Amino acid sequence: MSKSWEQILGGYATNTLTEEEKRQLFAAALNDQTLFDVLADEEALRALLANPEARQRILDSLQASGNPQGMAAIHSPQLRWFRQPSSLAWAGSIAAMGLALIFGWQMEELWGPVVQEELQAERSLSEDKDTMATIAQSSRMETRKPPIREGQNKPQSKPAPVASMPAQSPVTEPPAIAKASKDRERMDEAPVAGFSKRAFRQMVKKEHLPKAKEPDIQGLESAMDQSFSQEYRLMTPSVGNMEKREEGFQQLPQAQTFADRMHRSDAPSSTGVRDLFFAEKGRQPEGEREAIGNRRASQLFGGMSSEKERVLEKQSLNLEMTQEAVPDDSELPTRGIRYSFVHGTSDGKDDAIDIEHFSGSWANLRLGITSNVTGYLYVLTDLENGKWKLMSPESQTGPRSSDGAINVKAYQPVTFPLNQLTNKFGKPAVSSVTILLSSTPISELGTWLGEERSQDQLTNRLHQPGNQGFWVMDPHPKPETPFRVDIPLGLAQE
Amino acid sequence: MGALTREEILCRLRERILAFATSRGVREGAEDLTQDVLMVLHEKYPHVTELTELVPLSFQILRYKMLDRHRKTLRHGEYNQESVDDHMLVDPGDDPAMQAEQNERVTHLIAAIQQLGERCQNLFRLKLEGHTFPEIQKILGERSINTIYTWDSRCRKQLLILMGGVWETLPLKGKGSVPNKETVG
Repeated sequence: MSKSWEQILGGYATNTLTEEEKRQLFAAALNDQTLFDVLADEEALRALLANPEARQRILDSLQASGNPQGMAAIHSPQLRWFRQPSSLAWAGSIAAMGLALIFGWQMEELWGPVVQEELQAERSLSEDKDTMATIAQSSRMETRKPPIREGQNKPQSKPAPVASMPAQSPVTEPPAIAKASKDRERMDEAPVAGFSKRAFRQMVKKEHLPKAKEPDIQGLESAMDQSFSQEYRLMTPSVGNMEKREEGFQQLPQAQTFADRMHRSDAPSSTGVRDLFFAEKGRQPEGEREAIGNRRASQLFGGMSSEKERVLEKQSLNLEMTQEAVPDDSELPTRGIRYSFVHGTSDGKDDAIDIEHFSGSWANLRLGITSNVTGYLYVLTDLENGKWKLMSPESQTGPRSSDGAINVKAYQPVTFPLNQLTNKFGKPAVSSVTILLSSTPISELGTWLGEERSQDQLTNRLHQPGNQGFWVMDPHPKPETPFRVDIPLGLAQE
Repeated sequence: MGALTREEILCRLRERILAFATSRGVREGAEDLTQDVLMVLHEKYPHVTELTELVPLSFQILRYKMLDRHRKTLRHGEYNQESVDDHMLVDPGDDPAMQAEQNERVTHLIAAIQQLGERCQNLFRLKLEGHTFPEIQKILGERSINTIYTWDSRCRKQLLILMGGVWETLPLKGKGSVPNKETVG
């Protein structure tokens, strides 16, 4: 019996074969004895199922025993779709993706905050390293400077909260602002979470610190943490307390003026006169001060709503106006003069010379004068008969007033050829050169050219000779009094 | 295979019926049994000429003839030595014994079907509802009808095993499948 015919035998007993199936089956049975025998045996079942009562009885039993819902489900096209292999493959893939998503979600739920904390700790660590490197660089630059700054810093060891804020250099200010902002975020989170994200972040940070293997930086980091925490307390009040914010704004660090430093130090050492001379360079112009003020305001207002920001901006403007209205002597610039004797070299450059040991012709020399403040410069020579003569500069670099004063700008050098002072032997024909520096043109020039005046000025000024010239400073400037410097020729020093 | 004539079909049927009867232990009466079947086909169903009608009809007649032969043998005491007076007269209709036998077979069949799997039960139900294999294929949503054939063949074999290997138990087998002519005779 062919297996193909055997497969349709079941339809014979139930009489559900199609005409074609019957024809093929019976034709095959006539030629195949085995198939014929099987069909003959099937006749008993066919006869049994041909009885309607028996057939209905079996059907009832099947429907009673079977799950009608299951039967209906099998007939439903949805479940029929599920029974197809391709459908099962799709369903399996979707189920796998769903499981992966659920697993990922649970992992994110469980470990996401931990991973984020670690990432933030790593970022914070890297930022701290950058900040520490910047601080270390700036500290190295500070150590290179003369000890006068150290002397100035000592009185600031126990400063008032406002004055204790170090004037941030332009290099270190952006990381400090970033660090302060970051610390403000941490402070904002701290009261909410108790032992929470910040504590955990610090724990993670501590775990990461030994891995850095940079002992110097770690030491600096601990110092910086203390500094930053203090800085944070001063600069970033809590978010919910507006009054503290205002206090924090008022406690914003102000750039120290030179007068502040001078008042805090009893007397600068002689080696710091040159620094004092150039300290006026540290004074920011008005526009720069405004920009820094804006940066401070933005630093303070970071994360605040625009309405609160506007209110505090207005308050800060009022505060600035109030501060400007208050007269402050410390705002007066500290006047200073640098002068040197230069000799023109063959390649066109100027070479400073030591006038004490100079034996050549003075006619080839020039007197270079530089003021650290903008003002009117008078360079005169004493003709020793009560007459004074204004020296002419080598090149007219600025406007000159009617009385012969040269309107100089800060740190703008003015050179005077000494050939106008020498005799035919190349030696100076006058005993000294007097320099007057005033913020305004001097109406009565003769009143400031007496010997007594010069002595009075000499008692108060700071003087420092150097290889590159002489620096003379007026530590207590008075706006109504011009700054006088006498340069004795022949000795070229006081 | 081309279309067979009625004579050709009957000729082949004779061979198959004779072989079948011989294999079922009819022995000497196999020829007579075959002849009886063919006589019925020739005399009562001369109008049936189609293969799809003639072959199942021959199966049906063959089954009846075999059952009659078994009953006749039983009446003649070939299986059991009994007095003829003890037997009742033959009722031309369905006697209660046959009805009881059929009920018993149905019960047996239901019990066997209940032991089948869900798929086989579903297949059997669909067939009892009159669905052909192509219809069942559509109902079950199978792409190939061979899948339905395979499932049905397996289910049929499983059901046959559960039924004891035969669809019908001959009524005489219960008391004695071995004739006792020698004992009687």
